[in-house]
Amino acid sequence: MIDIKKLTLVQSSKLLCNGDITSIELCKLYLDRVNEVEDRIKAFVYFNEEKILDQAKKSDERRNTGKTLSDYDGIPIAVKDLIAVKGDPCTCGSKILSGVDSIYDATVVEKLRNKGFVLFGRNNMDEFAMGSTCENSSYYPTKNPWNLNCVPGGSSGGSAAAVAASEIGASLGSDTGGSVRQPAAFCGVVGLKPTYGRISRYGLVAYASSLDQIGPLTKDVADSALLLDIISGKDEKDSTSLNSDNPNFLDTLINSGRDLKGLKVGMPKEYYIKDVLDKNVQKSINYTVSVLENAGAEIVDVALPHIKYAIASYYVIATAEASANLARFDGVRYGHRSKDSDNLLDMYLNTRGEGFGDEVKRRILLGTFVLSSGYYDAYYLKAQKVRTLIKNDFDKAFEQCDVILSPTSPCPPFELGAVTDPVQMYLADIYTISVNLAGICAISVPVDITESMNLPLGVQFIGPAFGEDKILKTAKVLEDNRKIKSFIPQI
Amino acid sequence: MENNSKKDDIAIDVASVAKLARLKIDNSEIKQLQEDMTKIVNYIDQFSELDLDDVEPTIHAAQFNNVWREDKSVKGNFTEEILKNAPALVDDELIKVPQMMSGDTE
Amino acid sequence: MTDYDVVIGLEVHVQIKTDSKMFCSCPNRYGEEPNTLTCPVCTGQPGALPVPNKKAIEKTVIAGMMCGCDIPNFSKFDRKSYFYPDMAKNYQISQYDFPFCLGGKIHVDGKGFSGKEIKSKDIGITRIHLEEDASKSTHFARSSGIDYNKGGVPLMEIVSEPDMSTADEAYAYLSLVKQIMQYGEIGNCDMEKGQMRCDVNISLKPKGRTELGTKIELKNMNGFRAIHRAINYEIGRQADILDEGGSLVQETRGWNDDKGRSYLMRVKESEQDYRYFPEPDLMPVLFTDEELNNFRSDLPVLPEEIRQRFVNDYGITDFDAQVLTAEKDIAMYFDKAASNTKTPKLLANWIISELLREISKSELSINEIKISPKDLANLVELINNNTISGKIAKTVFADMFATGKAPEVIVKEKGLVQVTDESVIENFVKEAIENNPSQVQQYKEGKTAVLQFFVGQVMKLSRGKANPQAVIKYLKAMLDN
Repeated sequence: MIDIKKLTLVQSSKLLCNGDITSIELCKLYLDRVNEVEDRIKAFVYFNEEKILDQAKKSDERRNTGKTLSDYDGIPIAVKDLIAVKGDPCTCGSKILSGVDSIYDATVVEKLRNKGFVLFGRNNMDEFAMGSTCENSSYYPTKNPWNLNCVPGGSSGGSAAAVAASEIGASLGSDTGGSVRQPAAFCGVVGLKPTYGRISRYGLVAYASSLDQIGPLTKDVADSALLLDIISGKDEKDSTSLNSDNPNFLDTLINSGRDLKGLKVGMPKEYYIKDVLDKNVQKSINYTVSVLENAGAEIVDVALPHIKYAIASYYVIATAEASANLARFDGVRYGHRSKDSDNLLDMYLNTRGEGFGDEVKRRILLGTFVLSSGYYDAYYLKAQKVRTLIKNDFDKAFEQCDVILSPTSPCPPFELGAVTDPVQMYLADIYTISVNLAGICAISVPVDITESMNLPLGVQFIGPAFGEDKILKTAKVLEDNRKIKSFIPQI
Repeated sequence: MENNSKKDDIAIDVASVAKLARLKIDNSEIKQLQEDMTKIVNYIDQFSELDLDDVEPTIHAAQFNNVWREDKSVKGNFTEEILKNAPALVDDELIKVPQMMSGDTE
Repeated sequence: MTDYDVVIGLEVHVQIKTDSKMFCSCPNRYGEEPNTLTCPVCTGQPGALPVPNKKAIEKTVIAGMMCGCDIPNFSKFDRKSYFYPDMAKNYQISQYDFPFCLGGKIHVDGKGFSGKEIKSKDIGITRIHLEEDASKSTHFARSSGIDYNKGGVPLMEIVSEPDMSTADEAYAYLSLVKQIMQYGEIGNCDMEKGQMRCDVNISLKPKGRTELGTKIELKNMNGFRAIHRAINYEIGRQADILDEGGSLVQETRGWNDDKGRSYLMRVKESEQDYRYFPEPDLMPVLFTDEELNNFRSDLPVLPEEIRQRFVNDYGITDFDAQVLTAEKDIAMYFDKAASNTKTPKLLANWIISELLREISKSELSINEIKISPKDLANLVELINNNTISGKIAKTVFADMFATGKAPEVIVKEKGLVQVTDESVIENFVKEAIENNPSQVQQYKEGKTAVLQFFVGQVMKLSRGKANPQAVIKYLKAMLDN
C-alpha cells in the first residue's frame, strides 16, 4: 500500500520503473488526495484533470513500448503560477493576467517534459511573488496544512502547502528574497534556492531579474537534488544563466559520506543576537547544532558585518527592477483591460489600478520612486553598493567555513491576518534575503516542531556560489539524524 | 516602527510617482499609501550611515561578460496566439488601443 | 532682420541590416504581414528574456570606427522606461552612460544641396549607441493599431554635436552618414522604409552671443529634401518671432511637407524621466584592445578612400567622384565598368548624365537595371573606336536599358554601324549638295550656319549613320570650293 504522505520522487521513480504502479494510478492517487484536502488548503489555482490523465496515459504508453523518456517518466509535478506552461493560464496570482494563457513553455518546463514528467497544475502564490504569506494572492489565501488558521508562508505558499499536504510530490517555486525557503520552513518541507544563474529564468515571470531563481519544493533533500539535476543548466535564451559542469547532484549526494567530519559550519553572530530570537527558533537552532556536531561538524564563528542593511538594499533593488518588469502589464497585448477608457492614459491608469493588488502597487511605487530623477544616487546606486558589501561579507565568511547555519524565519508560522504593517513584513525576511543579494545558494530543511502549536520549524544552510553539493549534504545529514523522521501534518 | 512621521521624513509625492508608474490611486487610498511609503523610505534611508564612496555597485549576481547570440533568424509560430490573447484587434491583424497621439510619449 | 547664429544638432536613427532582431531571433524584414515576425520576447510576453545580436553589436562598433569614434573597452545596456503601446515592455533596452562609441566626426565640404559652397568643417559626433526599435502604429479615427514586426529591430542612434549652422550642412552630414552606413554594410538607410530617421534640434541666438537660444525639436521629416526645407523654414520662423521681440519655448514640432510648415506637437514642460538603470537581464560587453584592433584592421573601405582612388586611378574630377560615390552600389558599378574601358572619364559622364537619369525615372535601383557594367563599358568602347557616333549611342543605350541586350548585338541587329568609309560619305555629301542649290548659295553668301542644315541632310541620307566629323570635313571641303 503506497503511503502518498511519505512518497518521494525517488520512490515514485522506483515504483514506476519496477512496474509497481502506472503513471495513471500515481496521478489518480494525487488527484484523490487533492479532492480530499484542497477545499481546506487552497494550494492550487489551476489544474485540469483531463490534461493530467492524458499526459499520464501517454507516459504509460511509452513505458509499455519501451520508449520511456527517463526514469522519471510519468511522475506528476506542479509549478508555481508564474512559470509559463504553454496553453495553461499564467496569472501570477493577479487579476491583471486573468484569462492569459502562456504561448510558450518555460525552459524548466521543457526540461521536465523531455524527461516525461506530468505537469499537474499550478500553485497559488502572493501576487507577482510579492509577499511572504500568500495573503496577497488575488484568488484566496492558501492555508498552512499544519494549522489551517496559519499562513503557509510566501510567496511560493501554494507550492509548499501542496507538497506538505501531499497533494503533489514536488512543486517548482521561485525565490527572490526567500520565497521558496520561508514557505518550506513554514510547511515542513525542503526548499532550495540555487546559485543565481544555475536555473534558466526563461519563462519565469520576472519580479526582480537580478535576484529571481526557480527552486524546487520537495519532501526530502534527495528529491531536491534530483530536480536540480533535471532543471539546471545554461540556457541560450537566458543571458544570465551560467555555464556549469553537467550537474549530478543526486549521485554526489547519495555517494557522499553519512557524516560531516571536516565540515566547518559558520554561525554569524549578527544572526544570533541574544534574547531577540523567538524561543522556538532558538531551540531549533540549538538542536541543529547538536545534531551537526554529533555528526562531526565543527561550529565556527563568522561575521557578516553589513547584514543589517540587507533588507533595505533588497527592497530598493527588487522594487526598482520590479517596477520596470511589471510595466508590461498594461492591458495592451494581453490580460485585463479596463473597459470604457476612451484615451490611452486612462486605459493604462485604470487597467493597472484595477488589476494590481495593494502590495504590488506599493512595491511598484517604491521602485519607481527610487529610480526617479534625483533619487537614483541616493537609493538605487547606494543599494547596489551595499549589495557589494554584503557579497564581500559572504566571500570572507566562506573563507572561514563551508556552510553557514541560520534560521530560515525569525518566527514559526503565524496566523492569517496577523501582520499588516508592510515594514514589519519585510523585516521577517532577514535571514533569507541576503542570499539573493549575494547570488549564492541556500536550502531550508525542517528540523523540529513547536511544542505548543505543533508547527514546523526549518533551518537554513547557506553555501557559496556553486556550493549546492555542500548544502545538500549538510541538509541530508541533518535530515537523516533528526529525531522526527517525516514531517507529516495531520490533515 | 513609530506611527507618527518623523520630523525629517523624506518627502515622496505619491501622486506624481503613481502617474509615472501609470497607477491609478483613488483619493481614499492616497493618504494610507503616503504613510506607508514614507515609513518605507525612512527605513531604507539608513544607507546614509555608510561611507560608500569607494565601493563599486553590483549589478549582476554573477560577473561575466559578452553573452550574445549569432545573427540567425528563426520564423516563429506565435502570431495566432499573440492575436488571440489581445483584448482588441483592428482587422484581425493589428492590436488595437485607444487613439495614440502621433509622436506623443507622455 | 537681426543676424542670428543658427545652432543645429541632429539625432539620426539607423536600422542595422541584420538577419534577426536585436534581442530575439525573429527575422528583421520589411513589408511582411502585420504581427507575423513576432515571438514572446519582442511582444513582451510574461517571462520572456532578451539575448543580444552579436552582429548588431559588431556593426555598431564598425560604424563608430568609420566615423572616427573612440570605442571604450566596457559598455552595457540600460532600461529606458516610458509607457507607450509601440514599446512592448514599456521600457526600451538602450544604452545610457556606457554606449559603444564616443566622440568622432564627419567632415563636410563641397557644394551644398542648395548649390552654394559649404564651409569646409568637421561635424562632431557625441556618441553612437545601440538599442531596439519601436513597433509600428497606424492611426485611425478613435483608435490606433500596432504591428510588432518592427519592434525589436536593431537600431543605432547617432547623436551629433550642435556643430551645424545651415540646412546645407545638415543635408551634407546626413548624406555622408548614409554613405558610411552603406559602405560599411551597416544599413541601407532607405528613409521611405523607415531604415533611417532624423530628428533636428535647432536654436537661434543673436550673432556673437555665447549663451544658446531655446532649443526646438523638429520631427517627422521623411527625406533629406524635407529636412532641408524644414530647417530653412524653421530658421525663418524662429527669426521672425525673435525679430518681433517675442520669445521661444522648448517645443517639439512636426513638419508638414505638403504645406511646407512646421506645427506644434507638444510643449516640453520638463525632461521626460526615463528612470534609466542598468539592464539586469543582459551582461555587459567587454572588448579587449586586441579585439578592437582586429576590428580596425578589417574596417570596410571609407567613401573618401574610394573617391580618392577614382580620382587617382581613373582621372575623373573630384565632383564626378562625389556623384559616383554618393551611393556605394553606384560606386561599385562604376568601378566594375571603368576597369573595362580605356576612357573612364567618358564612362563616368555616361553614368552621371544618362544612367542615373534613367534609374531615377524608372524607380529601380542600380542593382535592378538590365545594363551590366561590362555592357556599359562596351558601349563606350564602341564610341571610342568609331563604330557608332555619340548620338547613335544614345539610342543604343535606351534599347540596352529596356532590353538588357549587349550593345554590339543591338548595333548589329539594327544595322547602326557608323559609316566611316570615306568614299561613301563623300557620295552622300555630294548628293546633299546637289539636291540643295539654294542652301549652297546661302553658304557662299556667308551664312556658315547653313552647314548644320547640310549635316542634317547627310544624316538623313545616311540614316544617321555617317560619322559626323567626317561629314563636316567633306562638306567644308566641297562647299568651300
